[in-house]
Amino acid sequence: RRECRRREGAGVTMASGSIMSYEGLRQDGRRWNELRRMQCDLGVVSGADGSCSFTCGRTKIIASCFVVPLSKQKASAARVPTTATTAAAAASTAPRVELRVSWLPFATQERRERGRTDRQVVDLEGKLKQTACAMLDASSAVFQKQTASGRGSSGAARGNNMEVQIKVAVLQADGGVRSCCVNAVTCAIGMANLVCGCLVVSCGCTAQQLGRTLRETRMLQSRGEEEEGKRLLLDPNGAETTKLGELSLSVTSAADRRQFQDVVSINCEAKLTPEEFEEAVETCAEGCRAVSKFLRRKLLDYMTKVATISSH
Amino acid sequence: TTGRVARFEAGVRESIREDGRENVAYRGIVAQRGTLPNAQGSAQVSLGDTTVLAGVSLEIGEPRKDRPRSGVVNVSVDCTMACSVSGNGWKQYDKRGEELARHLEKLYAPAGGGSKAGGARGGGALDRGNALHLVEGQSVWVFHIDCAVLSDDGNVLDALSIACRTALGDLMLPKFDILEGSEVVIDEDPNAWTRLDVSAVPVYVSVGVVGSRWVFDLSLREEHLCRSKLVFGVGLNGTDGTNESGGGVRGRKTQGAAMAAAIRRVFSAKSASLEYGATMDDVMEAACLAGKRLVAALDAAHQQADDDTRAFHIGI
Repeated sequence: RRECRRREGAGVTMASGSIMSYEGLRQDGRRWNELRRMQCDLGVVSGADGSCSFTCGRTKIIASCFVVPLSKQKASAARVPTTATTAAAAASTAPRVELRVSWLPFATQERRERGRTDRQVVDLEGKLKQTACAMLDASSAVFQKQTASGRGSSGAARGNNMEVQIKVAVLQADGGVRSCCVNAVTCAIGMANLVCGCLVVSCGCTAQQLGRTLRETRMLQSRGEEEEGKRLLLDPNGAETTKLGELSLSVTSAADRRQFQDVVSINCEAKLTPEEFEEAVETCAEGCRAVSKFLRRKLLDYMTKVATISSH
Repeated sequence: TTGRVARFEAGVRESIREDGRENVAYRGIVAQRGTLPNAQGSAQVSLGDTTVLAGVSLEIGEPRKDRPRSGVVNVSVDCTMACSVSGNGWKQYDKRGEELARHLEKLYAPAGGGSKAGGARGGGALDRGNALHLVEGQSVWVFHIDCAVLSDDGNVLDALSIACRTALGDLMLPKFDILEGSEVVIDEDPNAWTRLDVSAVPVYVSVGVVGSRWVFDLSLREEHLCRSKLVFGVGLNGTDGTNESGGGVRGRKTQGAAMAAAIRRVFSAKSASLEYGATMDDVMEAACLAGKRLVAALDAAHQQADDDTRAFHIGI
């Protein structure tokens, strides 16, 4: 019987409902450390300063970003100081961020309307606001280093009289929604030509170890690969998330590779021991590096395209 | 802005608009079916830069009290992505969404009282050509249409109505059997499912009126500059039309068997009602013609496309 299974090796033999096959492939053919196919289209919303449609596997998010001058009431309500030269005042020159997430009813398999008080919507809004603030925060160390080296602002929204309105729509949700949203918002803000200190990228991984059945253990033993295979999966899709939980990590990624990544947020709803937690965070960090490479390339492509058009 | 308004109106008189179109020209329409994997029927429609997504989900539910045989259509519109950034807060988006949803639901609502020729069948637009009831009086198909405005460059209502119609056309109705005791069993075989017949579903045609001329398919900038707009719901076959009077303008059914009856809403009449006068019928006629051609073009393109190519373009 063992030979039969090996001969079937052209296809993947999986017990129905199992997350990973004996050959180490998941239901969609990925290994534990492979990300889903990502696609990032910039400029999908006409009239927006920055917009991005980010697709990761079957999860699709659209984010759009408007830079709007603050209306007078809001400015006076916030009591923003008008002169801003000292470092203390520099903390308040980050533009205000308003964010709204709408999770469309057809995003999940079963149609479900989500209002403003739905737990996931509120949760997403909070986390994305953190992201946006982290990107635009003028008092971050990275940012000051950049301005000190003379790069200066691009003339766009720096200052305390601007407001950034970010709108996010979840069109399809198939696992990794939080990470996708963060990446989409990053792209939208990046495209909007705002002064950012860094990019924030995000990635997720499963939060629980895959259980090994007795049969699996015996299989691996027979092959002599007892210790083989990490048991945390990177970038889980919907089915894997419901079964195993998800830990998603957002980090800032600056252009300078030698800098360490700063963690913006970690979200996890399952219980982990500290060692598992470290392992999960490590896995996610690797995923984030790959995602940030991808995002940077996309933004750079877009910027070069825009620059060449405007220089003619 | 008075300069811009004057420029726009002058252009309309010469039939040249900002982007070079004529008054009666629509932007290129791209309609794709089956874009959402989780919805039973879906469509993404772009009118130029205005992009709209519609997904239809199917449920079995109770019919309305006075219409035991017709299906129920619920529409919800999410226009978070649409443009209006006036800094007043997010409630504005919700209100706009609700308003759009209400207008769209009217397209599918059964004709009210006072309907003329067409019989007193009293079904909605979907009920013609489809039997939407499972057990009469107890269970009917309930359609939940969820729309999202992805990008707003004017004429959102038209795009939404086209998207709803296309999404319904993409929907497959399952075959069902009714056991004794009015229990419904759904046939799981997708090959036995039938497509909805949406030929009777109307579509909105928004017309901007400047002086004695009318302009179709306003872009966002033109919408801000055009002071009075009319919206007509136009179907392919003769449908029962309800005439609503608003703003002091009364309606009349268009003559001719080939013409579709019009459902009229006056959006922002203000002082423009005095200018209309005799040209109201002309506008209605033109809108009906346009709507008919639009609907016919959509149907023709769908039939040609079949299942292979799902995206198609219409230039009207």
